[in-house]
Amino acid sequence: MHQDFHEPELKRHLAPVKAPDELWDRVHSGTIAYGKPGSAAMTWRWAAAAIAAIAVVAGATVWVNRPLSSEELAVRALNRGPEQMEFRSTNLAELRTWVKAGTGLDIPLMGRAAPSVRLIGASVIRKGSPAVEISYRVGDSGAALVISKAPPQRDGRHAFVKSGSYHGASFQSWTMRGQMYTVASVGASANARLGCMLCHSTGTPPASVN
Amino acid sequence: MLLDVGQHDVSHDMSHDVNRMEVIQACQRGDDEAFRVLFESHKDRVYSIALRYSGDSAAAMDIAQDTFLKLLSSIQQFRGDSSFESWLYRLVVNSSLDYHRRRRRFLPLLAEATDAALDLFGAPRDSALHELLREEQEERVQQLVAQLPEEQRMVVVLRYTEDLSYEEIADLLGCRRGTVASRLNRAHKALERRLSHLRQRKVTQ
Repeated sequence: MHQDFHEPELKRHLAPVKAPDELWDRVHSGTIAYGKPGSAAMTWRWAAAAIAAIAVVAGATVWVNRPLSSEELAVRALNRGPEQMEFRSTNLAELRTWVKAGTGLDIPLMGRAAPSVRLIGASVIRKGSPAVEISYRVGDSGAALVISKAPPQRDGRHAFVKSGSYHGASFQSWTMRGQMYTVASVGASANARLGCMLCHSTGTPPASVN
Repeated sequence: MLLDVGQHDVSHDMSHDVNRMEVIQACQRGDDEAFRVLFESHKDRVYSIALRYSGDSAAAMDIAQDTFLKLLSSIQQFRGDSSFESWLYRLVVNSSLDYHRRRRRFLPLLAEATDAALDLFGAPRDSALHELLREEQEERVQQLVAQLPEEQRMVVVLRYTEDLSYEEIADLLGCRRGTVASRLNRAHKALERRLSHLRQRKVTQ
């Protein structure tokens, strides 16, 4: 039997030995780099916090860069104020040419706005599909109009889309000639017919404008 | 509990267990002194297994260091479901196996180089070198064990260095008692030829 023959010899040669004194130095130096008990839990907490922070930043980035609705764009333009417009002009023809060159969009506004409506300027919205925002003064208050391509699901005919309020501003949206229009306003200019007043001096569109 | 020894004063064992559990709990709270106590209590055992398993003192230092660092980092997970010794044995076994896997590709070259170096010594001619020869033989046995397949080697070390029973080894390695016996038997056979060569050298001495 092999076991009987080997066991004494193996036990003798493989007997326990004393650990070198320097083992503690090795372990102790390792513990400094390794960390104390509980540091693993702290590491996980820090990792979880880091992941949460990254998630918040990523979420915020996605939120900031998300496609904005037309009413969001209009209200944002309203808050920006006329002094920040890229192209400032009260001349509709000039503005129409500038917008056409910058975005390819045509602004078929007919220059027959109501007397209280005064054109100030325009800026191109470069994020996403081409769009332009146009700034007005209506009486003593501001108004902003955002024009973009009409969504594919709409046929683009002259039709009311929606109205409401967003962040304290009133807005109205409509489609016309394949484009979407959204006007936002506050104060006295928050008129339910403001959209009509931009093109129609009477504040009422004719029977057919398409 | 797996590795509790019998035939002792029960009250002494109980107070010893209570004290040890207090040390472990202090270590779990981050007490440096408690960790030092655990280290001093178990360093020889850990180092011996590492040395006998690896057959190399430098490797044994690495394995022992790794084992104690693992102990430190994972002692929070020790709940006392098994004995602390069992838990520590598993740590050192895992550290040894990890070390072996990291070094696996280099071991054949190391074994060849070791054999060649030992052949150069040959049988000592001077009887004054008897002690040296004994040490050499011990080292040689250790290296022969280190050349065994991984699963056989750990069984041999736990059996002959730690004097564990087949059941204890089976529990530690997560295998059956019969598997332990089978591995040990294969290890014995593999060692027989080389160990008999050592005995012949002792006789000629």
